[in-house]
Amino acid sequence: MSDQLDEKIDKFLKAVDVEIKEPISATTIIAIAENRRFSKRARYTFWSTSLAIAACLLFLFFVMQSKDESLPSDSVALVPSSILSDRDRVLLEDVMFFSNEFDQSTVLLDDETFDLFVMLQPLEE
Amino acid sequence: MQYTSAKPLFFPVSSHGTQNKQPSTDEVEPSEESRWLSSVADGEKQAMGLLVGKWQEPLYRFFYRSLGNHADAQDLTQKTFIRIYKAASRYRPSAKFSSWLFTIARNLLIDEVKRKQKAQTIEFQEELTSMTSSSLDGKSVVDEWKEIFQHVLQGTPEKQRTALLLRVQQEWSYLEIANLMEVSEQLVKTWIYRARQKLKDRLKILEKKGEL
Repeated sequence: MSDQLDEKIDKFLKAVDVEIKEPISATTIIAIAENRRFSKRARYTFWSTSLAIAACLLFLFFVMQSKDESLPSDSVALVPSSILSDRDRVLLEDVMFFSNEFDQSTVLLDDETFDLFVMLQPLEE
Repeated sequence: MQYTSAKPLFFPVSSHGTQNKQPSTDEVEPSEESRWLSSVADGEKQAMGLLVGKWQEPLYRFFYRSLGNHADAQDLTQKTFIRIYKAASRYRPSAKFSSWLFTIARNLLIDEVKRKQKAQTIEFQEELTSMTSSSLDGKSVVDEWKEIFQHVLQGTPEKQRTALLLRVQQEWSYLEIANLMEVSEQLVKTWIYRARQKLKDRLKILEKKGEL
């Protein structure tokens, strides 16, 4: 009885009567495998290229930013001479000349300053 | 084509990243499949045809009995061959070719079972309880009990099912199955006994009902 059951079970498990619906061809297997390999490589190329481009752009961004920071702050405020009239330009040059002269003036000593004040003080009647 | 045994051994790696087999100290005599695989690795695509021709039916039956539908069996059989084709250059006959083949097949099966697990358990319970003679009207008696068997088989854990199928379909020894599944021989025996017992119990019920 048990042997009969086992036989039935084995027959079922062996599935000899089960036939493959669409026989698999080696050509299909190779084509799929090669295609996947290609798409994998293409995906890898895409990502590596994208990453390289992104890195270049980031580098350029930082370079530009550091360039901006290194520029003198007053340089932006400089007024191009072309927009000044001739008269204004002469005046500006004079002002610059005087300022140089002030820079070169000597600082008076304390005693001399005192003497000077005394000399300048109007005499009391 | 001359097979060179001096090359390093290949140990199939599961999709979960673990090694499935321990290195075998004694090399196995290269089978015709080994020679075909070396030819495939050398770019001779006709050899792949021979391999597919010989193993597609056993693989298909294994998947079909395990999953119970043609579409999945077809899909997994194809996936197994694709993996074999890709790994052809790495294959070294450290064990029987069929061991390597079914290691790949089982890894794919486990992935598929995991993917379907949730839906399958719910569906299975519902289908099995609602499966009566009336629901199977229009089918022959043989078809009926096969369908019931298939459901019972699918209800057993994957390990028990695979062990039973390898034992019956491939006629592997308990030791071979134990090596593939990385468990003890005793555990394999237990699994096979339990799976078979479930089928027997169902068969007895059907016989009592007079449906067989």
